[in-house]
Amino acid sequence: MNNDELLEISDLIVDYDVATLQRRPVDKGAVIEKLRAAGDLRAAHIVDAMPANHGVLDSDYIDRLLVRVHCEMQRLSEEFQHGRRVLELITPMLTALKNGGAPAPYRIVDIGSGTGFVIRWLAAHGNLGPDVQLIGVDLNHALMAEARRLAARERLACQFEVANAFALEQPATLFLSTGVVHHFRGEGLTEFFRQHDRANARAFAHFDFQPNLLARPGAWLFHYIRMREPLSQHDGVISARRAHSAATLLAAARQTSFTCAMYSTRVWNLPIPRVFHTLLGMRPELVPAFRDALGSRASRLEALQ
Amino acid sequence: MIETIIVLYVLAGLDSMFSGICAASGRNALIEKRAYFARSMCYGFAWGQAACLLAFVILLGAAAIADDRQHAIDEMVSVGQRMAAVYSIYAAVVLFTFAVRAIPSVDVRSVTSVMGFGPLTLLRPAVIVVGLIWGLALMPSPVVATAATLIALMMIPFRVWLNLMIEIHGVEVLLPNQQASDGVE
Repeated sequence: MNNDELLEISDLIVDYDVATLQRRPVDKGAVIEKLRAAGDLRAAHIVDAMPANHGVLDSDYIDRLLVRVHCEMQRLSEEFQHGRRVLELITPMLTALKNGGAPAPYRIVDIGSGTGFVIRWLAAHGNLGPDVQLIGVDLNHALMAEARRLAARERLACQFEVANAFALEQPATLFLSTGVVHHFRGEGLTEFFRQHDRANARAFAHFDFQPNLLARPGAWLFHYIRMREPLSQHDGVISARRAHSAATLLAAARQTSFTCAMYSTRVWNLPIPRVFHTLLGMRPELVPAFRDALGSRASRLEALQ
Repeated sequence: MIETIIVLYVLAGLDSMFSGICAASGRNALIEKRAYFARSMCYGFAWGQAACLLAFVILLGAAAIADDRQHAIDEMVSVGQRMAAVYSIYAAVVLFTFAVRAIPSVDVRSVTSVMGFGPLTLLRPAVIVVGLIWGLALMPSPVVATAATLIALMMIPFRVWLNLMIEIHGVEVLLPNQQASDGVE
């Protein structure tokens, strides 16, 4: 099966009006039919077990399920030190922004932040300074409500908004995402990066699965032994299979005015692929300051162009 | 005999504590969770004590119904030593992986997950079976073989049991009082 034909359940069981960001009802039968047509009978079975009212998926149940799924996903992020990994990259990016003359405050916006693990982790451990604002953005009200509740519980200085990340009142300085870019396919991927341009961001860093021979068995191993929800197990493996290659990401991202490169694709520069690779982009004038700020980690940076 | 019992008890204690962490993981989305995981280890350890007690009862029962009680006890010790040898190797690898993970490096810690904790979690049931087979290779009497098999079979789904208990009791049993009253999951 072509990777573009693979479907994630979580993409199908929620729907939003792009203009108003309002939730739209989802027909359970239509989702099941779509999954069956794609040949994914297991996914169809998972959706079939979800409650519905008059054929429409129960939105409250779906919201609670998605919160549980994101909680399970956070477990993997914690195990793989994702918060610290993001911090190690955005610290030199922020240094480059400051040294490159970008005006404060620096607004870091996490696109599709879910329950906001990365933003909350950075707020708890990042020590990024008072001129840095941390914002998580997602279309799902329930996930944003949970992110706000968790942040309030630990008194973390960050905010979460149900919004289009590219149409914020106060635009982002730096966009982040984790496991999001593979959801955009074909022209949608190019358009995703063009929106970074239009939003006048200074830089971005998108983390996602790195496709390689080990990605599929690795994803299977970790999602099946670490996760409990069938949806988490299914979508985790499909995400790894749908992941874009570095060439695809760079081809799309370089149709913008950003200077782009892959960052940290191998472990210790050995021929051992990392689970995640990172697509990095920044305004050309920031590149020299960024290289300086990276220091010894500059060897992880591939050709910036 | 005492040494074998102590070694097996320590191994069971370690396994139950680590099982507690596994069962509690992915249920609490807070950032700071040290107290939560400490309680999850205690929770696993407590259920581990129940499992140890049940294992003790199985062994007592096996000794009671054996034709030659002393011979059965000798066999139990021999089988237990072999099982402990296999489980000790596994425990040593797990503890070594924890020691490596103490190195404050994102890459090192990620590698311990990919190369260590992930595969080790998957292997745990197989290790229990291998220890059992290695013990039963001594060809003990049927009553001792049955007792060893029952105990091993009890430990294989221990993590499933812990997950089930947390589902039934709610994740609040693992939360410090303040978090429990706030509702953290």
